[in-house]
Amino acid sequence: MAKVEKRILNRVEGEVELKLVWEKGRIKDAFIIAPNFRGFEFILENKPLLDALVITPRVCGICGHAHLIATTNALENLYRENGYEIEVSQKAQLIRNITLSCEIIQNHIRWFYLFVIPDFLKFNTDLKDFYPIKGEKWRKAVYYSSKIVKIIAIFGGQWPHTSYSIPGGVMCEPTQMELMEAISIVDNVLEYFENDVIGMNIDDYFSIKFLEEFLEKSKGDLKKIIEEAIKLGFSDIGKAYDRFLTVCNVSPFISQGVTRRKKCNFDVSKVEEIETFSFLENGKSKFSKGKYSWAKAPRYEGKPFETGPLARRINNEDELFINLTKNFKGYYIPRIWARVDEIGKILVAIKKYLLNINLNEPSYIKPKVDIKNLEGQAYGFCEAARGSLIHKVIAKEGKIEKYDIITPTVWNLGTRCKNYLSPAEKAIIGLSDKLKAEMVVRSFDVCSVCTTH
Amino acid sequence: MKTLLWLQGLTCNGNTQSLLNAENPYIYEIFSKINLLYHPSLSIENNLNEIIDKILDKEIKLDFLIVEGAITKNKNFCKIGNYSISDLVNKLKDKAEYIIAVGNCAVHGNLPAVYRENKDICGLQFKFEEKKGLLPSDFKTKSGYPVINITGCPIHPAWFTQVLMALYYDRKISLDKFNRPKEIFMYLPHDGCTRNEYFEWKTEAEEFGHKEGCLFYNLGCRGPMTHAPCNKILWNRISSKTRAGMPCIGCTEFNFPVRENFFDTKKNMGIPEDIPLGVSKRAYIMISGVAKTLKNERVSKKLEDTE
Amino acid sequence: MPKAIQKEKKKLEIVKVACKLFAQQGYYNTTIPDIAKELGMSVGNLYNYFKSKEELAKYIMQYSSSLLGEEIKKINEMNISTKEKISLLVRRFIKIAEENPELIDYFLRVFLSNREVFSGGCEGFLCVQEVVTEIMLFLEEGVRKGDLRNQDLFTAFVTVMGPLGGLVFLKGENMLMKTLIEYADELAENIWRALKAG
Ligand code: SF4
Ligand code: SF4
Repeated sequence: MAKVEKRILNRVEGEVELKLVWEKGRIKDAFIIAPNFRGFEFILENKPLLDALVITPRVCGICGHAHLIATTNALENLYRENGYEIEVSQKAQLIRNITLSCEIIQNHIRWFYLFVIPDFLKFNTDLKDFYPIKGEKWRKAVYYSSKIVKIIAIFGGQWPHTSYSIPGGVMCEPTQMELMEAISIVDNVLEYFENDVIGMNIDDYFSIKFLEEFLEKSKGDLKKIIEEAIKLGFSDIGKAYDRFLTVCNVSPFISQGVTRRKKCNFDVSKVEEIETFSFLENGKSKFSKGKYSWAKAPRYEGKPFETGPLARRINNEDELFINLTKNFKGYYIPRIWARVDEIGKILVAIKKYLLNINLNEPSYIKPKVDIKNLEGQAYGFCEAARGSLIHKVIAKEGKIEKYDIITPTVWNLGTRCKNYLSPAEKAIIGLSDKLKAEMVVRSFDVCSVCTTH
Repeated sequence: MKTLLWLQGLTCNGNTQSLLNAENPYIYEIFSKINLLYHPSLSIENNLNEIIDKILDKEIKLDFLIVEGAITKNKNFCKIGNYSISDLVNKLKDKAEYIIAVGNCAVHGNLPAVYRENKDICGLQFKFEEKKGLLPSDFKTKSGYPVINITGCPIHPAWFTQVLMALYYDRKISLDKFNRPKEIFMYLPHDGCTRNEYFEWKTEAEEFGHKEGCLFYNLGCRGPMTHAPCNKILWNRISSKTRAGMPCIGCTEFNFPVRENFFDTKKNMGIPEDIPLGVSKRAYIMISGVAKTLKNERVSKKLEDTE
Repeated sequence: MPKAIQKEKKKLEIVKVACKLFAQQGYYNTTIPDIAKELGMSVGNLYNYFKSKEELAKYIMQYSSSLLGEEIKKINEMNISTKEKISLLVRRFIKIAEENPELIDYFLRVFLSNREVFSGGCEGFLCVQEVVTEIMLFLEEGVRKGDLRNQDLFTAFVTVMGPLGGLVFLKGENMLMKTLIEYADELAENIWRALKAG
């Protein structure tokens, strides 16, 4: 007889419930339940178009900036769809990249140290330093993740929840001195990353192509956790579908694409959202039998895809990660590693962006046409901390008629469809340990507030 | 050791994220002084129900109950285990010395309360402007305070930590009409804004992307009509929206989620409909007329070109 | 009579006479001794009230502005419809014009045509601020209540003040067939129709 068990997953962004169906000591079926719903897409209806810049960041307290960038992008695309040029200076583009990148770094540091590592403390591991609140490593993670978002405040006034990016550019006009302050922050966080997180020089780290090489050379926290994970038997668990999705290019280390065996270009028209198991159907709440979560089920060509840093590594054909997916039968470890790896890549990129800003360019170029005159629909895309974020706006008479948000977490942790479980559900089938199942779910970086919004 | 329990209703977690940015004291310094019983994002153990039972059995004394997020009784829209957020608040409301609502959602209902399908969304003691929250309008905790409200979307960590510390050291705090700590919310973002000189001389930014110019007249800045010390206690201890160039959107006020056109100043015949707090429209028009006519050389140039 | 009030009264007398002379002979052709002579006072005494001809010229504007401003302020504070306010505004303006024709003359012939005199401290709207402020308040309230069409301040402003000034100008030129007040209703209706919403 199958036994059903419900567990609340804490230490994620928002809370998620796990319904596990056990049979013969193994998980036979798993439901990831996002129980909270605020109705952002409906709150947005009938609002003036630019107000979306204020509202969408409030979908999520940890990745709100990504929503801002996706909205900006959608509104700029709406101009283009209406046949109007919209000019954005390279300076504004770089500043947007910088602030978005800082949010991602913040997210990855907090996720690794505050959400992932504490699980390892439950096994008899010697990781005292990582203990929440008391541990030196936990404290450093809080300190440096807060430090990096100061850069967002320099350009955007504050983090969380600024709306300083707008169709046509950004609202700030930084001076050289502010750029210098931002650069010192990056240098400082980079030093922390080298000393603590990877425990080696960043260039040496980037030259690594193999697991063994890393374990040999690194003295950092990442290595410690990977070794623990291997010891605890995580090498073979956590695989989802081996299908990866990335919707944006972020120079120089993220390239868009859809990989399943082969890599193809991403095409948004192949995305659909299935509502069969979601409480939300046709814009109305419905609680009929079988429905179990507020999340929908996004599919690409009818198939579930994993998105996020691991997907970005795979789609970027990163040698180290292609090798890691061969080393590890399960993807728990590569998934965690990819997030941490991204911190380094982004830090180096931010510094380049900062040094490349030409302060003589305008921050903002006012669109020639008032946004109230735009009609029709447009998409906005963004690579957020947890993966690919898609916004779709439909405008009518200067207002939002409909707004659709497909978050990275809904790709990874949404509901099932008739044929497929969601990637995270799939990844825990067959496990015999509920703690490990929770850990695998957390490896996707759960954010229930984004999943349902 | 005093104790603190953190609950979340309908929220984006932004207040928790903001709190993690706290300096003086850092979050780990607070929780070295105060015993954190449970926080959904930070606690290692998932034992909320056990803790609540112990509080109800008086095994644990609860000093600070912190609520983040809007309140609803409807478990279809917000569920914590088998309970709704209002179930949990109701269980604990008479046990806590202090209840602090953090963020506009917990205080006023905020954006979630705008959603049509679930009508019962509200704040702890308010729904928007009215005292029609979950708890009765005359509700007081054991300490004699009503729910202490820290508004903001999100809160600045210091607004919360400074109040928490004051209560920790048994100091009295006074509250404004929305039960917000007066010493925090008596300031306006306008106070200390680097653009104040431009405001004074009515030199208005015509468009975004400039260090110069006040954002009040054209770009919707709510700095002079909003209660929050954003230019006194800087955000992330480094800047603020208006310093960077973004208009204040009035995120600490009850009407934040129902206001529209955030980047446009509503004007009637060229006169702002809402004017700075404490000034009559007559006085505002007079002063602006004078300031506009008498030019200040400095504010009419790019800063780099000033003497 | 207390000294201060006496002084104010005297100032007023000077204003009336100066107004008339400025308007009749032109600003530059009128000297302080001319004004003193007309008033039957010594030049030295006149300087006790105004330190220069320019100061006197500016004072006249401030005085007229506050006279009219006070009246409009009273209307603004009344609890009546925007349309009724326009009608009252027109009537009060006409009444002041009839009682103080020299002030209107002064405004049209001196203030508007000798702007250089009014540059130091009286530029723009500075000397006539009370009137401008009250008109702005009136217009803003009209839009806020949904009675008036939202538009640029200046177009609305001249739509109110232009016809009033025009009418008293015609009166001054002796072009009108009827008394000023007989035009009040029609003029108020015109202003209302020009400004009203919808
Ligand atoms: S930008 Fe806003 S806060 Fe700053 S001076 Fe102007 S009105 Fe005040
Ligand atoms: S400046 Fe205004 S919108 Fe920004 S945080 Fe302060 S009160 Fe909120």
